[in-house]
Amino acid sequence: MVTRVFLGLLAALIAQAGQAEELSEAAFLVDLPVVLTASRLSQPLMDAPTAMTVIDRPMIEASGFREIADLFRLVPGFYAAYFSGNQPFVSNALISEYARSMQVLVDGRSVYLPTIGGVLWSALPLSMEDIERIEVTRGPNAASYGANAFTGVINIISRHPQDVAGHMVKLASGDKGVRIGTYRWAGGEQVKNRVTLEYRHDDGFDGQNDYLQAPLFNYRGEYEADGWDSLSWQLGYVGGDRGAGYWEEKLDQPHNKVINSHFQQIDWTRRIPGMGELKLGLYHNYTLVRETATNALFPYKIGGTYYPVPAGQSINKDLMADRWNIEVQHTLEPMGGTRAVWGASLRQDAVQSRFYFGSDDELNNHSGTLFGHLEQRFSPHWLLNAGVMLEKHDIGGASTSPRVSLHWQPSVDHAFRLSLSQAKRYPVQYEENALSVLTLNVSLPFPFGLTPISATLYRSSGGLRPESIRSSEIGYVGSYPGIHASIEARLFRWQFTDLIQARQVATVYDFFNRYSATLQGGDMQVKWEPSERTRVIANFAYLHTEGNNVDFAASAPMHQAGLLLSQRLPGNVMASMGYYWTGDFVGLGEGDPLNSSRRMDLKLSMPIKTEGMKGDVSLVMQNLTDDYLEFYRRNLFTRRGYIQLKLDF
Amino acid sequence: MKRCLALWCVFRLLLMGWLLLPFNAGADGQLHLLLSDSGGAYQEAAEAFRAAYGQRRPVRTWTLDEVGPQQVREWSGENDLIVPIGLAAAHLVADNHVGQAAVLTIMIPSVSAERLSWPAVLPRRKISYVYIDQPSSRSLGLVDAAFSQAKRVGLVVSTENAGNVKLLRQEAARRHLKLNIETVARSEEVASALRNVLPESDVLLLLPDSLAIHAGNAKNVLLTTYRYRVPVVGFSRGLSRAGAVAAVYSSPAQIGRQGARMALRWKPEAGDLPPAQHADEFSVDFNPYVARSLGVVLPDLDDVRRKVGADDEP
Repeated sequence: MVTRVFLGLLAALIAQAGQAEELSEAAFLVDLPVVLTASRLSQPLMDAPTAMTVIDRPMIEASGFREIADLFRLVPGFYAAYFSGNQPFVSNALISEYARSMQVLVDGRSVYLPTIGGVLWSALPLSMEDIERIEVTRGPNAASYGANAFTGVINIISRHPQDVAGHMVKLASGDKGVRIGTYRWAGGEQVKNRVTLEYRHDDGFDGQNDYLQAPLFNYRGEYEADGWDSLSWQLGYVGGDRGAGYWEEKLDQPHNKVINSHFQQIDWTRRIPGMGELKLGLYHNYTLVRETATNALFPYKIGGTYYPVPAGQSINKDLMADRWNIEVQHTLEPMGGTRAVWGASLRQDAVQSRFYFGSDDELNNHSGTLFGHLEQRFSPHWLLNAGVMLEKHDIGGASTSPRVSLHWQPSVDHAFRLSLSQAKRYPVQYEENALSVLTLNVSLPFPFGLTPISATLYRSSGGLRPESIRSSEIGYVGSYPGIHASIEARLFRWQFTDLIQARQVATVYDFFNRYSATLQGGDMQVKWEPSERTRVIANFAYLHTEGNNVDFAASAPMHQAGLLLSQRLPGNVMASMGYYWTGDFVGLGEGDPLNSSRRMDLKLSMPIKTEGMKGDVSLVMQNLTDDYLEFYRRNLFTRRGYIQLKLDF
Repeated sequence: MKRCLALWCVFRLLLMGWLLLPFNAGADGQLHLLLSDSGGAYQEAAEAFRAAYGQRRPVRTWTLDEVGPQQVREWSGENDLIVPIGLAAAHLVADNHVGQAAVLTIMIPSVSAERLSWPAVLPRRKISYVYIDQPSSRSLGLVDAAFSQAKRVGLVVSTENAGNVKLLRQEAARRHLKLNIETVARSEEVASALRNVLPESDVLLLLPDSLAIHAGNAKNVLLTTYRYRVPVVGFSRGLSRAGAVAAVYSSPAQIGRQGARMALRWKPEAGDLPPAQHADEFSVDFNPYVARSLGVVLPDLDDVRRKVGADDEP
């Protein structure tokens, strides 16, 4: 049914397409519909209600990173690391490998997992080559993005088919089994298409079973009618195997995971003369991780006697997440200087896992939101931003997340901002409904033989409330055109309450809303482009954390700094250098104590240009400084490099 | 009987004379405004023309659906001035011109004017135009005035704009601006041309072009430039509203008045017209919303208007 409606719409829109003809005065007199409508216009940094960092395409190219998650090393106060070689994560503030406090969107589609929270970055059906830019909100913004836009929002915008028309081939090979092959075609007349096929392989960390093998497919179609409608549809898939488990873990011996992650998305936008723009979006995410771990031989004590638990028994950890989301949004400019957005959404999240939830039944969580935002410019110097999100979830109940910011812009080059905001992070299914029971056979003497024994690892009491954050922030955005530089800086204070943490009660872990924390800090980023050939981006963050959980104080590095320098050399050779420094900390969850670390990456790109073809050959060296640890002691990041050939034709 | 017949002939002659009277009154030196369409822009140009021309000579106004080829042939045989407004009217007049009447076409793109085919026997001094587009000095003058930091100006055109590109190159050299030009042979090449031009441009200047930039692809062009974060200088008020950060254009009324000023210098006896011109009057518009979103700091609009010599009239 959905397909029929979609095809009908598409045919109707295509039929309206116009034809080129001899140039006449009509080209000058035609009353074009407003193309860059309020909803299409991104908010300038000076008007943004919270601190923002934009990672654009030149930064992505200059960084030399191969994985999307690594890009967030470029964001002040953000911590990107590897839980295992194929499981990167991005966190800030109270850092943990589950990274549940951050909303992540790809073209408006939330990829935050409803099962255990966070994002399965290696299972995102999106190639690095297809990212146009990433807008990162460095603080709570639930009023705009809803639940889980708690300590940050990552908004990834993919490249429009028109901007990448033609063929592109990328081949990369390097240390640690790095092999990447990407092919993309984009084109089309009235309907513009982009198709990407990719295969990535990586051996992961030395001595670990954490390899990555990820075939990927991504498609985006766009139809921009001459009149008032536009239609965008996307789908993608990523699969492949991932190495998992550790020799030293008796219940999690090395094994494979098989990933099946796909999505479908359609967005219809209609401009209504005099009434702004209406957008209707529908998407579906599906992620299935098939995983059967095995155990090592270990002794099990019964009544003072140890009995062997034979090795190689299967522990099925399959985990499925399925999301349907529909949203309608209306953007309008009711009067000069005022921009308003309001809308609503409905979502259904289904999860299934015998290992995590104790049965094969699907667990559902329905949620709905109603939101509104207003941007009012009172004068060239004063701007008010206000927004509120009302939401209701089966898990966690109803809540209100307001946000208000007042901007004083004494001149076009300088803006000061005072922001107050509240946000919620709703419990994920695992926190609310965990029931992890492990059953293994223990070898008992005759006549018992192999006898099953069970141990409950996690059991949730349920009834969790959403976590809360109150944020107050003073910010400054300054532009210095005389020296081609800009600065963005802020001081902030975040107060968390009802934080959810797992705690062991007797032998079983449960989740509780018992914790609170206060984070105070400041961060800044500087961009300087002294010439068309040189670009310097520097960032620094300071964070002081305290709370009623002893683990909180050290759960994030107190200091972090980064530098990305790119320079165009004679002959259009591009040289870039990234330097990232992170202070010592101990991540929550299973994080090991980490000393401060530094990392320097270099990239050198030689252009290739022939008739009808252009591209480059790049050499990337990562971590030219000392080896350092990625979150765990076992994840030693050593020096490595790769060579990449990229051609557009 | 013969007397009755004579009387009948006289009556018929009188009747024909009376019927033809309105068409031939003041047989020489009439002005015929021929509107390509009855739409508002054409009426606006015609009204401005009539108001500025005054009562010097009779001015008659027609729309294309009221006039056929025969009528044009008759006008062209007199010492009249035919003023087609727009390309369609210009085509009708050019295709059916058989005499020596002067033709002043107004509100026509310069590239289309160059393609009109006039009878070889009609002296070129009797043909003139008021172009709807802007001279290169104005377009690049606006780039200079509104985007003082911009040094690289992107341009996507087809070969039909070769003449304009030549003038733009000269003007750009004078202003120390670098032009990044991509020439397309088909409309389908515009997207790739933009991809080549935009990363190397501080501003994209739009030139009207039947292949490169037209109403059918204006939306895609604007969306693409926005994704590349490059501000656009457009050539119409519509483009400014749609998303171009700045635009320079002459309104139909401004063009109509320019036509009237040129027509006042026309005398039926000689029939000569002043050379083809752009409208002296023109307007500049900004789209502050798009500029702000792109982080472009625009100077005061009135200052820019003063600097480039534009009129305040929107």
